[in-house]
Amino acid sequence: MIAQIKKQDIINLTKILIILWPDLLLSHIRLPRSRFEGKDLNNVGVLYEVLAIFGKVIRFYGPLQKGANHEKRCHIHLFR
Amino acid sequence: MKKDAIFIYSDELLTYKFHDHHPFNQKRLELTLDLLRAHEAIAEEDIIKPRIATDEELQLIHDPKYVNAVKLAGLGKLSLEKAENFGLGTEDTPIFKHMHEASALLVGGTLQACDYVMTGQAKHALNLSGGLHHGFRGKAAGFCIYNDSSVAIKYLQQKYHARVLYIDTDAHHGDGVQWAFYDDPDVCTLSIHETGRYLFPGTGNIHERGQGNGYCFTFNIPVDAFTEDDSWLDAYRTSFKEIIEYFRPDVILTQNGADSHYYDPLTHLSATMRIFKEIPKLAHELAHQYCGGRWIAVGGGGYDIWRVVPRAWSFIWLEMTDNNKNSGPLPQNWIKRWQTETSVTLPATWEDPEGIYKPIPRREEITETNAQTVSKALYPIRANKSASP
Repeated sequence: MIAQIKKQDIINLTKILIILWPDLLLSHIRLPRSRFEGKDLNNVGVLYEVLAIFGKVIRFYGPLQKGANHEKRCHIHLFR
Repeated sequence: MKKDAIFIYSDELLTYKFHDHHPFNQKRLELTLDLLRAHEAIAEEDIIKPRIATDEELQLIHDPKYVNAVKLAGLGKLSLEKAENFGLGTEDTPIFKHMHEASALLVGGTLQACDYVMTGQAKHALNLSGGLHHGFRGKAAGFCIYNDSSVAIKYLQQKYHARVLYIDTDAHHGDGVQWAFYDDPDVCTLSIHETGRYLFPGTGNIHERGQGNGYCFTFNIPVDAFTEDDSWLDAYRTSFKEIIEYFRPDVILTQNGADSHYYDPLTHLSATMRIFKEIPKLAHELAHQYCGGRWIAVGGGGYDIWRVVPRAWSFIWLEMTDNNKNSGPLPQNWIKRWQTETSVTLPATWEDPEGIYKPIPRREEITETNAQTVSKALYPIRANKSASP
């Protein structure tokens, strides 16, 4: 499944994410918006950065809830 | 005659209630006011009833469609599918009956606090029902429906042409207020919060500094999980003093979430009552030094409503009224009255006793990381200062 995802798919999805959550994504990945515009996106180095966004987004998705539901609260006490 | 401070309250504010098992519980307002009364620290004439904010006032920040959705939701006339688009009907921010009226009332309370301070009727004003800093233009989030602080800042700008410094010491990032004024150079926001690495809303990185004309008017200090009093206070004092000197506001609005305490069930910081005594002390001092005393304070988070919030929020009022009876035993009649309603043992003193938690093994590392975070966050101010002749 993963092998079937094309580079262009990742690029397109990333573009959509940037449109939906520009400040959020850009503040998390600390990269200038220009890196994701124009032909830079065809650069392999930038592709790695794009993949890193997904990592960040997945990480970010963790605390999307504040925790009204006790069972879903994030417990990190192992890292004390 | 100008009062030292006014306290916004009415029992109607308790109607901002999601359901019985939700951690956001406005009973803490009642507990705080009762503690102040038992302590003989507040007179009935200090208490001002809130007014309800008008639609026009809410729309200073909020989308009319969102306000309408909140109204319909409160009447049970909004489908769950539509509600979801507005962040309503979620586990965090469920729909409750008459939610528009309850939410608009606490916004009105903060606006009233602004009017009292800006017209010189009071030096300081406290609305503990406010501080709902996760509310967005068109979306509810994190237990917040309308964002009273954002509406109040816009109101202060339009009605009083004021430059506003917003200081947010809630354990969660003050995202709603930050994004509302991200490109505005006449509003400066500082949020000191637990890092978003593990905690909602996940934002509040040092590198979120504002954009366009508002660049360098947004400051974030994300402290590490398990941060203790000394490190937290060092971050607070250093950043607040440098930012107010840099921005020179007309008025200070402080958001006083009380969820950085070790006992708080939703967060992972290790602060004690010490920080909650110091937070209003510095705000008070700096308000007089820079703003002719103009200081408006609102509440915010705080989910240990028995052991933490009443004491923490009482400290704000005691500081506003220059009342130095803020240590030693708590009033016995307050403890007796409320102990029967909770299985948690109520605190006996204003301060926490020593050793409420086990020593934090990574204390040094956390302190060092936080110090570096403060330096990075304040870098634009310091660089600008050293570059100027």
